[in-house]
Amino acid sequence: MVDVRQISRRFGDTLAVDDATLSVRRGDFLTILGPSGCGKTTLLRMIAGFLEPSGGHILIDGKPMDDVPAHRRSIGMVFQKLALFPHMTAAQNVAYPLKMRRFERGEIAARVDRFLKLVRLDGLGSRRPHELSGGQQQRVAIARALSFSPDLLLLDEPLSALDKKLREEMQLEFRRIQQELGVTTINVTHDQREALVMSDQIVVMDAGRIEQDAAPEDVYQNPSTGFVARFLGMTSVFSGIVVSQTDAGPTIRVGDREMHGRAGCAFKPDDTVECALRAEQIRILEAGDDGCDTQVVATVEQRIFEGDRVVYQVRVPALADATLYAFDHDPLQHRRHGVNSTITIGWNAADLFAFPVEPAT
Amino acid sequence: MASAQSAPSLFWRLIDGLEALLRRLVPPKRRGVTGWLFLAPALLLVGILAVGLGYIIEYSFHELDIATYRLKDAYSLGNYQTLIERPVYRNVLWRSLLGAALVTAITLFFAFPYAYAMTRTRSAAMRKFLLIALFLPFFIGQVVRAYGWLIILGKQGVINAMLAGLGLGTLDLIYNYGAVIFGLIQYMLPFAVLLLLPALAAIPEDVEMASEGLGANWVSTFRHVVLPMAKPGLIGAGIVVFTLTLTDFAMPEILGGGTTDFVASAIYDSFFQISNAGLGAALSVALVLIGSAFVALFFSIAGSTTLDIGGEKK
Ligand SMILES: Nc1ncnc2c1ncn2[C@@H]1O[C@H](COP(=O)(O)OP(=O)(O)OP(=O)(O)O)[C@@H](O)[C@H]1O
Ligand SMILES: [Mg+2]
Repeated sequence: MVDVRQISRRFGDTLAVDDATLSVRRGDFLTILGPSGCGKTTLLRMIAGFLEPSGGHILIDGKPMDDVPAHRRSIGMVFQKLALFPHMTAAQNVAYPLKMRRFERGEIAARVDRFLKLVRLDGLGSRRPHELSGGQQQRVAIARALSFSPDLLLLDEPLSALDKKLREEMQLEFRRIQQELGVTTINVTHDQREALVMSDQIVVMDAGRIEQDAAPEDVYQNPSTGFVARFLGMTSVFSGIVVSQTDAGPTIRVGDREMHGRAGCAFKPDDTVECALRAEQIRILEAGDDGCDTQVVATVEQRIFEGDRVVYQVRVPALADATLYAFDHDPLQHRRHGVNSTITIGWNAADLFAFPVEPAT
Repeated sequence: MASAQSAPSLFWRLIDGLEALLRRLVPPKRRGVTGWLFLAPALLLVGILAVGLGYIIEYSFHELDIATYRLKDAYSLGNYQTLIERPVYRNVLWRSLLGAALVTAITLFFAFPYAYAMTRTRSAAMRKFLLIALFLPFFIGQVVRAYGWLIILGKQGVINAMLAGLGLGTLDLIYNYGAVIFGLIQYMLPFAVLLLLPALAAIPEDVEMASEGLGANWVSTFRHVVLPMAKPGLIGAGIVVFTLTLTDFAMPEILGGGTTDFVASAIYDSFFQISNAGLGAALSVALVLIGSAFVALFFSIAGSTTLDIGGEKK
């Protein structure tokens, strides 16, 4: 439904979006995930028609959008800072696109009612934005972006200003509304949890470039680059040298140890690689427990209590003093490893990702 | 962090000391008084102004005694009657009001895009240029500027010299109403721009984009979003330009050359040419009243709710 083809945008010397290609199926919820400043807003604004691409094309329903101004595209957008009209009531905000698109009077009233109800704001239509709470303003912005039944909904981190609890509520709310209306949606966020919870498809961006485009589980379980592995989840990274490569994966030397891993490409011996390990895939082993492919002895450097889990930051002398992070979720064991105590940790070959070392940027 | 705690910077210790001193000097109960103290200079100024106005009002009720050229002791409404009966004064008043209205409308019309461009341009150099172009005239006083226009527009001025050179004959570009209005607009423009700037800068670009994305072309966006959001700025700038123009003296004097007096010139003439302080005072009072009435009108427009996009009235 939406096809973005090799689109780029330059601001002076910075290449904010660099040759990005992606497509969304009708009715899908796609999330663009990336750190602050990676070009998410820029990409979204080009799709909406607020910014001219420096190169490339955008097609909606197969039609090139090159010469279609923003107000002639059928796109609803919720802005990072909401951009409600402060001089209009909530209902007038929602009615605005309908009036601009010359809907009939009766239809306008019916839609305003329907969409305020949809975002659970019935009864608050006569309030101005400044008389509404942050979450309520959010809802007005959503209702306004949806009331004219746009073909495409764009969300530019509209949840980032909310506190954690409200944000998580609104994530589910967004998903509910999106599925109820079946509107194709492109969401932008730097919050990995939000991306994983809400999306059918995730596009990970870094420094203007698309790193991976896949389903949430794929992105998490099969990261295609070191950046993606590091960006999602709590990931430990250390470097190693490839010793040999088989169909099952490479064997890597790290410090004094050799271990098996998994990779998306075939390496040659002596290649330098970046190894990534997710914290939840490292197990803290008890004496006599040896169900892991690789086991190492580590020293606890920090113990971080997070309520539902404990994060251990450990140093592994055998792996050239690499720093790893491991979770302890197991409340039944009441384990308590103090700082400087020595523990044994282990992981399976299938959970150690190896990536080619990226050229320094 | 620890060091910051054990040794607060000298600055903060000074502040603490000052605060302790203040607490000792002004007991908490009297705190309310200090707030009023800060207002004292302003209140004093306003007070002096009020006293002056009181005298003017008092003068306005005494007619001139032609025999002694002093104001009579008896109170009367004679001066006000003169204002109403003599067409000269009605004309002057009408001319001033029309001038103020014209100048306000035209100045805002030109100031708005200027201020808008200044807040929206992406180029820092462009913004700097617009700012300097705006401030430069401020350093040149009103009188000097008016004379500048005389040099350019006068009978032997630059433009007429050029026209004559082309064999086109000369034009009367000064000593008429148009010249006064022109000079006033040129004088008021920077004030208006300066007053509009913060109002326009406060309109986030996102809001305009949102409007466009929701299906409004730029005309609708301007009408339904930019203009209503800029209204407080427009009202403020309008009031300042209107009152400054209504009471202006130099431009009508110099560019009008005595042919198109505004109220201020008439007041000046009453006091210093025909030495009729009573009539001058009555003119002043009339000016203050009419000016205030218009400001009140502006404010009542501002107070009424913002543009309603039709409907939603339940
Ligand atoms: N109008 C502009 N002029 C110049 N540079 C810009 C402009 N807009 C964005 N940039 C630059 O382009 C890059 C990408 O910006 P963008 O706003 O798209 O980031 P983002 O991914 O949305 O970040 P965030 O998560 O903080 O909102 C940044 O380096 C930014 O400085
Ligand atoms: Mg952004």
